[in-house]
Amino acid sequence: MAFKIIGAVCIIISTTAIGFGQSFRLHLRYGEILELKKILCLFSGEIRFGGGTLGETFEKMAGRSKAPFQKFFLFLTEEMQKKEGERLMDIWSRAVEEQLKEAHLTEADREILLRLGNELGCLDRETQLHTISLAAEQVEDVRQELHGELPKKMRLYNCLGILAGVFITILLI
Amino acid sequence: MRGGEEILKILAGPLRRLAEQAPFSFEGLQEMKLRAGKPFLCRYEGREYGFLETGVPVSVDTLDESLNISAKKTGGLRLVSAREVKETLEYAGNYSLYAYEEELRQGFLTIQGGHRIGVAGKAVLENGEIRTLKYISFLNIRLAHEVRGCGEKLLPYLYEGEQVKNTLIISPPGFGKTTLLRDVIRLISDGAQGHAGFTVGVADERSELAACYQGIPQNDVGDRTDVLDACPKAQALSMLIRSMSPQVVAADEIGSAADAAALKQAACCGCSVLATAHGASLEEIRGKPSLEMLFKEGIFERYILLGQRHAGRRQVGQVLGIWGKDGQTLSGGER
Repeated sequence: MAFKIIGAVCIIISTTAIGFGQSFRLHLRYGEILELKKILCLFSGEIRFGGGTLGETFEKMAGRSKAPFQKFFLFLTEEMQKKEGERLMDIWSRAVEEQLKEAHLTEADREILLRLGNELGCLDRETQLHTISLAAEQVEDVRQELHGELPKKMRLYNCLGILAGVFITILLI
Repeated sequence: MRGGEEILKILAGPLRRLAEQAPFSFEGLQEMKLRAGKPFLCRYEGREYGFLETGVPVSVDTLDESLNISAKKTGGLRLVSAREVKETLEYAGNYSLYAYEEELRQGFLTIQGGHRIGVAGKAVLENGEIRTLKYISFLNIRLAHEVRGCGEKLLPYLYEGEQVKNTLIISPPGFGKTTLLRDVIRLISDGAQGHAGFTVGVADERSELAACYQGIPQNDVGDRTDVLDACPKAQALSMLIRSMSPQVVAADEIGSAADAAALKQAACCGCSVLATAHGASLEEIRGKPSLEMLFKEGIFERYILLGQRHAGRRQVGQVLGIWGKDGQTLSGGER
């Protein structure tokens, strides 16, 4: 009997941890979306008022952003300085793929970033700003959607974790 | 090529490899011309070179008839593709052409090291003004070289006692007036030939004189020099006078009436003025309507003309003559 109780406790703890983990990841994603929104705002300000090149802007943003975007911008700065025949959009998509692989962003979130990378470095400032503002709007939509459902989804994941543990335990007993 | 890594880095990959392999030294390289569908040409020590498909540079001046580019028989000469022009432009603009919007409107951009890249393509107009350029297919990379000491021989003509004379350096494009002005600024700023150093304010609209990178001059323009980078000359001169109390102000390539008015104002504020202007002779410069006022009012006290004494191979920095305020010849004399 004691083994059964220990087993049941282990199962419930494990499924609860999975549920809480999932809920925490959602929370982290929300944090990253907020950070991304802040970054796009800084980016737009730098282009509009700073007048610097993308390399200079990315370097500044690496210093002002948190992980995982800090690593992302440092990578971009270094790769752009190499000028080894790679287009900016390719460097950017490599950075999204390699430097944000541990981020909690979804494929749709990454797609927003990739689309932004395709339009960077164009001839005039207005188009550049327009592209950034479009990406910022899309990120804001994601943020609002997440903000609305975040408490419900977190509660759901937490409860599901516990209930799944209880359910499996009942089945096994 | 020996040296000039910053220039090699802006070239598209295949062109970079050609230039890297060429037995040129950076010091002797003056220009590189990229035209979509046309040969890749470099001006080196006064001669123009193209490249064979094998990567070997050949002088276009002495090319045999079968390779003569003027006859459009480019067989054998390495042509530049439209993609290579685009890639070079991307690198030159650090993938950020929007940051060079103002410069591109004027047909050039200046890169790290003070090298100027002239661009041509299709102009996009808005209300009769150039908004931007598109389909950029022609690039002219003009390399800036610091030639320390090239201004020394002129210094005796530029001082009267401890006063620097208002001086205008005149030459056609590519004859070294910016290089000469830069060295004169350095010499006046540091003090040379027994003269004390002066505070110099440089209005470096095109970033060619000091070649500032993130605000710090990459070229030596002297210890007492303040640089206002990438600011229109007329505004820069008055800002410098108001804020940095210069004894001498300098501006490259004056041409507009606003530039002339700003120089006159600087001269009237007790500053000595150093400037350059495009022109092939003193008379040609005097005939420019926008600069007429400066001559009428006798603002300049020294005119230095650079150019080519003999036809043939171009020689940079050759002084053809130096004149005083009233046109009296102080040296040379081919007006």
